[in-house]
Amino acid sequence: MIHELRTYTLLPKKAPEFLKLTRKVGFEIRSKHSKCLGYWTSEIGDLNQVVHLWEYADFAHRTQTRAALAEDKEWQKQFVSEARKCQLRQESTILIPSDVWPFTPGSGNGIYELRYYRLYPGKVGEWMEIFGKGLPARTKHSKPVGVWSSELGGLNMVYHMWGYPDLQARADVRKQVAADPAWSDAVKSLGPLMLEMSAKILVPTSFSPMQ
Amino acid sequence: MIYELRTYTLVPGKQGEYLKLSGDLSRKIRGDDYGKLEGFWSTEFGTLNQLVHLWSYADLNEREKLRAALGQNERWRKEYVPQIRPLLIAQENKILSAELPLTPPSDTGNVYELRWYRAHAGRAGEWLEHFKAIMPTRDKYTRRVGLWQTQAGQLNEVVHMWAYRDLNDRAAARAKLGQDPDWQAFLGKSVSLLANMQAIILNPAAHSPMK
Repeated sequence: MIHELRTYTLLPKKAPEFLKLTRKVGFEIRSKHSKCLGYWTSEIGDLNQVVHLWEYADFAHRTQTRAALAEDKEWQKQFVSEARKCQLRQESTILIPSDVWPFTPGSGNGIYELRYYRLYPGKVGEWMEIFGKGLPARTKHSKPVGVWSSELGGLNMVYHMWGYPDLQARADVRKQVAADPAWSDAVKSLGPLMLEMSAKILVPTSFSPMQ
Repeated sequence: MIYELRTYTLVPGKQGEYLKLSGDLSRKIRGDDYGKLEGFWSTEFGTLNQLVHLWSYADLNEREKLRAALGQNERWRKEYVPQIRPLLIAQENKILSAELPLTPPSDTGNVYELRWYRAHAGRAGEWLEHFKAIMPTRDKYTRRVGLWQTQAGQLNEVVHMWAYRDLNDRAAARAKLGQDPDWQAFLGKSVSLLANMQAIILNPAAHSPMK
């Protein structure tokens, strides 16, 4: 199983048009080809972005799907030709779900937090082991949607995603978590393995499978 | 022999138009008279809407002379460049010196992987010594196309390229490589010399000499 995370930065004035086009036309056509796990807009972090997560059995499945999409006239004519005019930048990365946490789609959440860290090269295994050991303490407070490492794009990256009812609930959980010694010990050991940490807050679109 | 790797970021949706101009008009005007085209690809994963092309020159003086002559070519200046300029968002180039001879695959229908690693300042040479020493082991699992050190552009950087039949072939070969004890020992010795690692997949354009 592989996941693909795609991040599109939209032209600020064209963002509403892109979302409308995706909601009314694009998403339905695209979903016939492969399974979307979630489709969000960015709320905090870089703005005017859409972030979407796709699931494939393996690389061959992804290659076949992308080839079929390129041939889909409805997709190309009704969506791609118009959507392109709204995009500034597109990025894609392949994420491998980690066995420290089984991927579990969220539901009933107002916001999602995607956290991604660039580690010192070669430290992904060690990071996952410490993070996995800390998870029983962390998940007493809230549970992640998924934990991944990157396979293509920027390497030595780990990603994890969390769902919360709202930003206040997130702040409350993170406060409790910080006070939990089992988790703060794990965090202390993770720190020296990391070079950069980023987080963005995402809001599910109306058509996102994960809400 | 020196190499130049150029990466162009296009306005989303303009890739088809660019590839046509580049494959037809540019090839007609310049052929290999102003530097030899070694490969021409579009990117998959990482930043999308990018084209990557690799050129070779006898040496830096030859490159300077040929680039100046190309700039004087009337058809290049008046017919080609004005057509591609509006399709481009960004252009980046790197001068590479080969650490091992370029070995383009003799077959076609491959996907290519481009990896570039930034070493801690002053440590790229040391990393390359380790990497070249392990190459006989590595070559048992994967098909090497090139190994370079960046001379201008990003410094302290090594660039390498590999050919695979497809992405599942790549995943399988890399999984086997990861099990090799000699390879594991190489990683243990060398990975702390690196600061940042990136990998993208390149799909050959119709006019790419490497396919």
